[in-house]
Amino acid sequence: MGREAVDLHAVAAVAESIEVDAGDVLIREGDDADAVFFVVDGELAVSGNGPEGPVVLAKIGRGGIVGEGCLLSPGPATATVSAPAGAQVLRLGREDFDMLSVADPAGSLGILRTIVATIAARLDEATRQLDAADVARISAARVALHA
Amino acid sequence: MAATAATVAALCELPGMERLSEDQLRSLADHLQLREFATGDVILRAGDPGRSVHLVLDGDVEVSTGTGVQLARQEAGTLVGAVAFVRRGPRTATCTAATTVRTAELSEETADLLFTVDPAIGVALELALGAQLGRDYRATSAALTRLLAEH
Repeated sequence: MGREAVDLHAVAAVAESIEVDAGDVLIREGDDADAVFFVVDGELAVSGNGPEGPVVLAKIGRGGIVGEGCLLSPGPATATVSAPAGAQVLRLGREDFDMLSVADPAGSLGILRTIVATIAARLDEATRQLDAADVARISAARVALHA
Repeated sequence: MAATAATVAALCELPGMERLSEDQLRSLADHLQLREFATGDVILRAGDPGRSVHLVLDGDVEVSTGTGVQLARQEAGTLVGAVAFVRRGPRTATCTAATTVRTAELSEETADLLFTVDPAIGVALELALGAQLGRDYRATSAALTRLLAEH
């Protein structure tokens, strides 16, 4: 199993199982978020505010994780997460995780590594996008210069 | 060169390390290799295999993408090379010493061994890596948003 693949059984032993109704919002952009969610069933939509209203940035299915950044570096949520058609998720709050990681470091290390690997994957993707966007900007500037 | 008391002091500043005893901190520090870089030296190069993470002890590090887009200037107390270390893939950015730089480097092999012996050290280090990656992600996302707004 790769580092980013989540062991849902291990998470289920320590997290709270939640049935999310269709249309419900789990995380709201700008709010203080203090939990990570693991998708067991269904699909979550990650959306941000575009110039013409909310834009769906990503869809997260079974085994996926949302809210991972807020668990380790507290701060306002950077996107809104909802369940357009309902979903079953596991919620792991920051305090519960802190207690678990002190009481059972070996048991919590696998979950923690999955969360950290997910943050690293998102940073990797953002870095690639920044690189691509900058190349596109420079190309556009060159075109404008020679127009 | 083995790590020193200065490395222990630098480790103490990382989030997560407050969970460790002095003995555990010293054990982690003993597994780090001290490295020195002159101004202009490349510490990590995008695309190279990433087999370690560096804790910056002194000096400033310029971080840029493979094509040269500036991402950040990191100071003492930051972890560089975390993405490749965590993902066990190629380096995603190039880190260059902007001044004389000293780092304490942790290799994957050493980390694996250390974490098996004492998982609490693993938890502390993962918390530090997660906090660093979270900060870097927020900064990169903000830069991306600004760039797209300009475009």
